[in-house]
This record gives sequence, C-alpha cells and structure tokens, in this order.
Amino acid sequence: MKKNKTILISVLVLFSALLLSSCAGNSTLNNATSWPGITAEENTIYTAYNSFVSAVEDGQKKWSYPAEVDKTLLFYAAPVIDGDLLYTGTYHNQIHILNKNTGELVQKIELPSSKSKIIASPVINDGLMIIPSSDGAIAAYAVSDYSNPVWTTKLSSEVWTTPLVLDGKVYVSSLDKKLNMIDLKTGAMLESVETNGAIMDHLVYANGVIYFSTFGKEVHTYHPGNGMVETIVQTTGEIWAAPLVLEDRIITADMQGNVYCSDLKTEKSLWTLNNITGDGSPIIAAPVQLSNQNILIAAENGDLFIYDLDGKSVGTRSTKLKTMSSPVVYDDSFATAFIPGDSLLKSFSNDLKENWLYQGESNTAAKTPAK
Amino acid sequence: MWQSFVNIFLDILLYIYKLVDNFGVAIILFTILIKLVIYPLMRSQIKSSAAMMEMQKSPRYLEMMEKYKDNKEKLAEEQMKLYKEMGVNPTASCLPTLIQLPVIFALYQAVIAAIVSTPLGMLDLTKRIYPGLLKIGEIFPINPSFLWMNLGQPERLFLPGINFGIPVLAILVVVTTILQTKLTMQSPTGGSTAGAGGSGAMMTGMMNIYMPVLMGFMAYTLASGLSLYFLISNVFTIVQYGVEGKLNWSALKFGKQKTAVLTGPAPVSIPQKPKTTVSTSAPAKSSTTTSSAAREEEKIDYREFKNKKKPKKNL
Repeated sequence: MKKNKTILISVLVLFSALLLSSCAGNSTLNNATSWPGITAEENTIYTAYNSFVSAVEDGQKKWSYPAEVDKTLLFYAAPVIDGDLLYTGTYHNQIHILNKNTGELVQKIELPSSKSKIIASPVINDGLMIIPSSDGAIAAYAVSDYSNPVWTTKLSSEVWTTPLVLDGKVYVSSLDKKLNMIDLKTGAMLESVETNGAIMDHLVYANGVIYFSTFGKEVHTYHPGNGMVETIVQTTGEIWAAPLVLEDRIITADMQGNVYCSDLKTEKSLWTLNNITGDGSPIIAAPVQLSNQNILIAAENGDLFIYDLDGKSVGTRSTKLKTMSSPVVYDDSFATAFIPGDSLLKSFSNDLKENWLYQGESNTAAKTPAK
Repeated sequence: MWQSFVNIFLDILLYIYKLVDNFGVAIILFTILIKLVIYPLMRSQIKSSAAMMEMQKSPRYLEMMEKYKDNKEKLAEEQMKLYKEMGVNPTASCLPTLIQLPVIFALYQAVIAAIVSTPLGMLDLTKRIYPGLLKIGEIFPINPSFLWMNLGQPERLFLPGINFGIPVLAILVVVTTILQTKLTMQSPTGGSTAGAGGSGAMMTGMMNIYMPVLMGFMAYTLASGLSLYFLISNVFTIVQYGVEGKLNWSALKFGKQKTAVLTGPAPVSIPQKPKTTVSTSAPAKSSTTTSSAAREEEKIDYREFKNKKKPKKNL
C-alpha cells in the first residue's frame, strides 16, 4: 500500500515536472519559429527556412545549403544577394555567406553575443554589412574583413526589421516604438524618434521620405531633411505589413484584413476595401505591385487577392495554406512562401494560375495542416 | 478548450500589465487575485484539515484503527462512516491544490506567450488576446524586466566577483515552500501530521522532501515569471493561514520539533504478533487510551520510520 503511494506520488511529481518542462519546450519551439524568408533575382527564387537555404528555378532545386541537415541551424531572414554572394542570418547569431550560384559556403560570421538571433536580413552598403539582431545590437562588418565588427551599437529594444541605409545614416526600428538613426561610419547613435506603435516590417524609402507602418494603426513618414514625422494613413486595425508606396499613392493593409489606398500628395483616401478575406484574417505580408501594375495582397490564411490601382478585384485564389512572407515578383509571375503545407514555394502567373510548386527539403516543408 | 482557458489568463495578466506597466508587478497582482478567488476553498481546506486532525485524536478513531488494522477494506469502510458522521470531507483538503495545478500550467503558458521573442510568437499573441479588452498596439512590446530578472527566462543574479549566476528566486521558492509546508501542517500535538496515520505520515514526509525539490527545480529551470508566482503564492498561503490563526509555529523549532515529531505519536501499543508495518500514529495525549489494548507492548520507533527504514521493534 505504502509502496503504491510512493510510486503514485513519484509519478505525479515526475508528471508535473515533465508537463511543465514540455510546456517550456513547446514554448521555446513556438517562439523559435518564423516564416520563410524569400528573395528573387531574375527567375531564381532564394528561400531560407528552418534548417535550409535553397535556390529554386522553375520549381526545380538548383542547390540547397547545407547538404546534410544540421539541426543547429535555423534560417528565417530573407537572403540578401550582393554580386555573386548570398548572405543569410541564422537564429543562432551567425551569418552564412554562400556562393549564390552553387550554394557553397564561402564564409561564416559569428556575432559576439550568443543572444543574437537574426530575424531580419542584413544590409550591404558602402563596403559594410549591417547586421540587425533581435537582442537589440546592430553590428557593422567590413565586407573585406569579417574578423571583428567595425562598430556595434546597442539599441534600447529588440530589432526585427531590416535597416535602411541612406546618406551615411542607418535607419532602424526597434520594438520599443522607436525609429533610430545611427552614423554609418562610426556607429554613433544620432537620434531616436518615438512613434505611436511598434514598427513590425521594413522601412520604405520613396519620394525622398521614409514610410513606415506601426502597430498604432497609422502609417507615418519621416523626413530625413528636417526630422519631421507625419501621419499619412490611419487604419482600423493594427498594421504589421510595410506599406506599398507607388508613384502617386500608398497602399496599406492592416491586421483586420482591410486594405487602404491614399493619395500621396493630398493624403486623401482613394479607396478602402474592408475585410477582404471575409473572416478577418490578418494581412502580415506587405502588398506588392505585379509586373502588370496590379496590386497583390497575400492574406495570412493563404488567400491571394489581385486588385487594379482603382481597387477593383481582378482575381482571387485560395491556397488553403498560410503565408506571412511578402511575395516576390519576377518576370510576369510572382512566388510566395507558405507554412504549414505540402509546399514551401509556389509560383503564380499575374492572373493567379499556378506555374509550379517547390516542396522544399524534407524537414522544411511542413505537413499539411489538420482540418 | 485548454487554449481558451490559457487565453483568459493571458488577457487578465496583460490587462493588469496595461494598468501597472510592469510585468513583474502584474504577475504579483495576478497571483494575489488567483489566491483571493480560491480563498474560500483554502479556508475550507484549513477547516477540513483541523476537523480531520480532531477526528483522528478521538478515541473512537484510534480504537477503530486498532481494531481493523489487519482488515484494510473494513477499516476504510469504517473510516468513511466516521467521516460522514462527523461531517468531515477527506477530499476537501485536496481541492485547492488540485485547482491550482491547471492555474500553474495556464499561468506558465500565459507568461511565455506574453513575452514573445519572434514574429510568429507575436502573431500568435495578437490572435489570443480579446480585442474588446486589450489593444495589442498599446501593450506591445511587453517589457519582461523586473528588478534584475527577465521574467521570460530562468532567473540568475550575477554579482561582481562571482563568475556564476545565483538563482535567488529558486532559493526563495525552496525556502518558502519548506516554510509553508511546515507552518501550515495541522497537528493535534502542535508537531506535525504524523497523527494522520502511518501512510499519511509517509506521504507527508515525502511531500516535505518532494515539494521543495520540485518547486526549486521548476523555479531554477523555468521562466522566472512562474517562479515569482510560486514565491508570492507561498507567501500568501502562509499569510492566509496566519489570518486564520492556524500557523504551526512550533514546527519551525527544528530541534524541538524533531523530538516532538518523532516522539509525538508516542510509542503505540500493539497487540501481540504485530506486523512490522505501522498501524497507527496516535498522538501523545491519546496514548493512554490505547494502552489498555495489550499488556505486552511492542513500541515502534518512529525515528526509524522517518528515516525510511523498516520500523524496529523496541522490546
């Protein structure tokens, strides 16, 4: 009897410990996952997701890195192409530099801090590679010598977005609702501007100003000349996706599935589409303009919508997958990445006909979601 | 279903965070809120434990234990009858503990969900909060810092000159768990729950060891937000017992208490040919009531029992 009770208590204690530990494991796993990074150059699509970086052309794999699965590697940030090289960041403080044609490793950079998770893509400008890290550190390395950083600047909060380099300054947003400006040469912090919400996606430079959307349900402009911040669009839902800035208009999508188009000069609303997904599914991926000038919106629930510049629907396609990565445009097509699903990449024509699909490496293509 | 349960916790936690703008304070207030909600249950647990102890002191109970010591089924049947007659619910004391288990799991998941570290975690959070109560744009990013801790990570205090982190919170959790276990154990003799019977004493003994170890292990390895919950929860429970006037301060006098515990359930009279297993653990005051059971007394040394050795017969 006593023995049974001893066993019972031991089992209960172990069960509790295991349950909480497994909770921790799951949480860590959940917090360690993201969506695929995707880049296009000509008709080659480069994608980084989980343990692999791949180059795909017409649905066929050109190469995949690494050759063997390495569970210690986790890639999420969109690869960056510069010349013959491809740069991609890992979740464990490394930048892998690959030959973009063969996928061979050219060099590996390990950031000093082990807490540096690279969620956003690095930027290469003026002989420097600027690496944003989720621990709030921005590191600059000379592309000729990766042994030590030229400078490292610590920001007040995490960085999830790709910096923008402009006129000798690095503009980078941190999650504590700030737009920070750093001197490109020295890494000195020049200025920090408070905004009304966290900036979740990349900054857009067009027409001499920087555009960014915030979780505070607004799209702002920052004027590098005079340092002024202006609100040009207000939305119903929080905004994750970066705005699409065209010659005369700006298109914004929010997390309630609404799409807004405003005139850039007058800042007046041209048209608004409410809840385009019908189920309030958020839009995380930034809108893109296709080669035929139409606008592509990819909702998180995998629905693809194409509108003309006047907001009229041109086509809709449901993929039954999930997409948070901004599609990339190439030729008269576009490619987008999905999770979880039976395919990592799919390419569509401008009228939403499927060109090809790429399943991904065995452990990058997630399983079909349960219904 | 479970996710919805966790989401309620997440919403309440984040709502408190929105009000106080400090995640550590939010966890403390949330813990107090949970403890206040289950206060009536805890109160009934305290009363139930006291009633149980009183009952176990009664001559009828002791006689019954003696009488049916070789017939477990009959003993259980008679015990249930007695519980019923005296209006004691033997499971009442377990309820608050059982209720707290899902709360602990849910809180842990809520803390981890709130302190996001990647875009996907953030996206998950936006879907889990109730928009009528909270606006994610207002509370994000959640600052996980509290004192020297990152509440989403296991806690360590790094001091100059020491090249390792001191798990202060885990130590405090262990200390307060030991204090809570000792101070809140009801005893008719002011000692411990040894009076609950042999198996009860064994369970108590095991819990005395397991609970601080388990809590300490979890506080050491899991997010410090959860450790903070454990700490505040322990302190609150001690205060609660204090308010009810049921704190067993004598249990803190370790030297004396040891004697009291070990000799408290005084050598019990056992009829001839006793089995080596412990039949009862009668309180000292009641020993006289059972002494008439047999002339030839075989005394069980409870120190042996406490040391998890086979009880030794002292002739």
